[in-house]
Amino acid sequence: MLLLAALAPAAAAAAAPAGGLLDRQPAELWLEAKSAYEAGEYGRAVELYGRLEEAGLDGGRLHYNLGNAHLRSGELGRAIASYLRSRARMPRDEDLAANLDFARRSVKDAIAPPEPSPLVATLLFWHFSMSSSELAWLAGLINLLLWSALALRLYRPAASGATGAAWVLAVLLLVVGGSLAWRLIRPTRIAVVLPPEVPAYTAPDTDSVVRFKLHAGSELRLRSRRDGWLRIALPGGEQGWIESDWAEVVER
Amino acid sequence: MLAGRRLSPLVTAALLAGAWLVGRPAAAQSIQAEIDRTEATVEDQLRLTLTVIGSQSAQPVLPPLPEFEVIAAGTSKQWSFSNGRASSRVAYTYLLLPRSEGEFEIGAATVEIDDQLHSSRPIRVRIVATSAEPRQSRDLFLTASLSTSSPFVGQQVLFTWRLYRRLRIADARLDPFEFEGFLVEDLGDVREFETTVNGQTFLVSEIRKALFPQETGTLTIPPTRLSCQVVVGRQQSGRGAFDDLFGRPATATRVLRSDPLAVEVRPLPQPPPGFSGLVGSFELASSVSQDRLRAGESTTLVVEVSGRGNVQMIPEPRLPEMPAFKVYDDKPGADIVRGSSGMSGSRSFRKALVAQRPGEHAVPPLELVYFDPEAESYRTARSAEIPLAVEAAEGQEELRLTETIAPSTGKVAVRILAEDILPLYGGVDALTQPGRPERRRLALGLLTPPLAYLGLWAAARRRRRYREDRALARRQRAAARARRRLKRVDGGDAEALSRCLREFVGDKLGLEGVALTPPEVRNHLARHGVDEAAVASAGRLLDRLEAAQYGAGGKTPDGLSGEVADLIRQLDRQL
Repeated sequence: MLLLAALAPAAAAAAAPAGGLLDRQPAELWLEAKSAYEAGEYGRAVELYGRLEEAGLDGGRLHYNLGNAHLRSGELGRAIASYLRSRARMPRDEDLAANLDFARRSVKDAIAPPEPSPLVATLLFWHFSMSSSELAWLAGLINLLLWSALALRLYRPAASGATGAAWVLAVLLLVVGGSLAWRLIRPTRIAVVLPPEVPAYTAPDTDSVVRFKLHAGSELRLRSRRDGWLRIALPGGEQGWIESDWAEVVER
Repeated sequence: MLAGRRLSPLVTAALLAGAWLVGRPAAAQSIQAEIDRTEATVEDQLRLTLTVIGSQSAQPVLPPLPEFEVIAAGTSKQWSFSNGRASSRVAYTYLLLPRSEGEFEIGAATVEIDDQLHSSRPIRVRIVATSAEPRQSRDLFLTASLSTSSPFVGQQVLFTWRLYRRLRIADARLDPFEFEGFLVEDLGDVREFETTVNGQTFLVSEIRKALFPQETGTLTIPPTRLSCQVVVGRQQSGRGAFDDLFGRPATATRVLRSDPLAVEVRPLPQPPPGFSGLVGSFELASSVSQDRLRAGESTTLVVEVSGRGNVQMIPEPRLPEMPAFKVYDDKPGADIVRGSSGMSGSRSFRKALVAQRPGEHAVPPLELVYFDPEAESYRTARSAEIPLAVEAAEGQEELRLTETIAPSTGKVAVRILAEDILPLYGGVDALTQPGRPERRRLALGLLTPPLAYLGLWAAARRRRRYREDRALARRQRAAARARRRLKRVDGGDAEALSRCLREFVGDKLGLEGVALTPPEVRNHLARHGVDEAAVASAGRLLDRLEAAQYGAGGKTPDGLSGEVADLIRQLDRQL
């Protein structure tokens, strides 16, 4: 019972679509969106997938399909944003990686997407190769095992290995929980440019100097927001302000 | 008289003290301007000296000198004594580098001493174009030249800049080249070589650039300017033999200019249809990886444009319609050479041709129209027609998206002919995929095990304490035990009720409860701080139970069982 009680709430919130928002069953909408996509009606597919998203569905495959529909309808920026959302939920999906790579090759600006270096990605492999939901499950499981080991020590002080196991589990919980906390408290925010061309100003004011121009699909690290403006940074550190309507912000 | 010598600090201090003693410097305060010559060429430098007399600290102010570049070249101080009075002279030296030819006035320099403004006299100087001396007879000179002075728009023009020198130079600074109206491509780094001019050996530094005029009419490349330090000898400091060893070499600043270059850019004649925009000489060739294939198989068509001229602008030749094939673009290649003789090279365009139906087909000739500046006319480069024999596919073989590159080796290398995104996820199981974790549920899930652990820990601790302290365990559990006993007692059994109450008191107070009499119970309860009402109530209840036990056949009136339970609850709160 204790196991179930601990694990169930720690699990990510399973997608539970709010039926009231949908005219029809989610499965029906899902299949209709797929048919629209296959018939070349990409705008319709985007609309249907968007309705599922509004109804509370937030799975990686929904964002993946939405990304495909956006890409087919020529919305490169929105496609990349959807793929990035999908990657946050299923980071090891190979189809997604291939489509994101394909979309990125169409981006005009030669700006490297804000990704961790291979060394960092290798050293912190669990952080970059697991979704937040998976990290939550893992942290919940380790947490349960840790407290179970401690409880065993209470009633069976002579149980060999309980103390050692508790130490190992405590370190694991620190690592996995730290990773999860970092993601939830300070997520990396990426601004993906939507229009074909966007000026980046030196200040959040259209009368200020245009510092550089960005094009659809460019991914930039978001530094801060202010009154309808986003302060973004290029990989070299140069910063500029773009209007928030011109970019979609994705949390990693 | 002591002047023109460098003084030791001690002597200077003594002189300053003397000067202070005799009063302020006696000589009249003024500023004088001198120039080493009043006529020079634009490549020369003028030495302007401002001498401030009567103040060591006042700074002279130069007049505006827009026609010159001004470089500060140091100061020198002099003290002199005349008739027992001291006077000071501070000379400020400046180098003036002319920017252009003409006759200019170096205005009055000013200095403020003791709230009085003093001015020097203006000086007129004349700057002439260049030395009458031919360049080649000098030790240091610049040249700039073009391969042609009347190119067509877009034609490649080679710009060659050279610095000839027979002197040691240092700190050379070259102003950026200005090529307004041209597209500029660098042709490598600076080349260094030796050459002989009029029997003299020069070291030459050469810079080459390829220029592509973008406008018609007369374009001018302004003179390039180079300033450098030229070693002219060793400084003299009058310290004897050590100067020969350690004296720093004396240098002079030299400014060199090349001649401006005029270019008359001619427009191209009326272009024919399909003109590619290329100017130069170009060739066009095409080839296929295999000319015999089956329907569904593919072959690679390579179209290569090579030549000399504006090769960086080579466009892709238009491929005529080929209805028997599906055509897929592949990555183009480029091999651009930036040599000293200009830009040349090639661009290759690759296409994957997938045969759709059998028959005798061909890649038609491709054409590229360019302008040949040497012939001053448009030319058309053509590739040869390539026949392609397509046989029927074997069976129901599907269209292949890969092609064997090297079938003879036995190994098969595959090449991606077309790229596209991967398809949608169709399964409705995607609808149950989790999204991002919900913070409240996550916190609840993570906090539940430690809270459960705390509960277990508290229980274990209590159990341990009870084990170690039996009296405590008895006291803590007294009420529960009494309640259990009460449940088992028949409500009318006075003895059992009395026993239950006395055992409870005994458990609470660590006594043998069964042996307690009602007065003893009252006494013990009163001693342990139970209020008088409860003590009296307990005494009365025990008396009644005793009376019932011995007077009414052991049966009690209804409700006594409830009273016992209430009394136990009341006593439990107070003990």
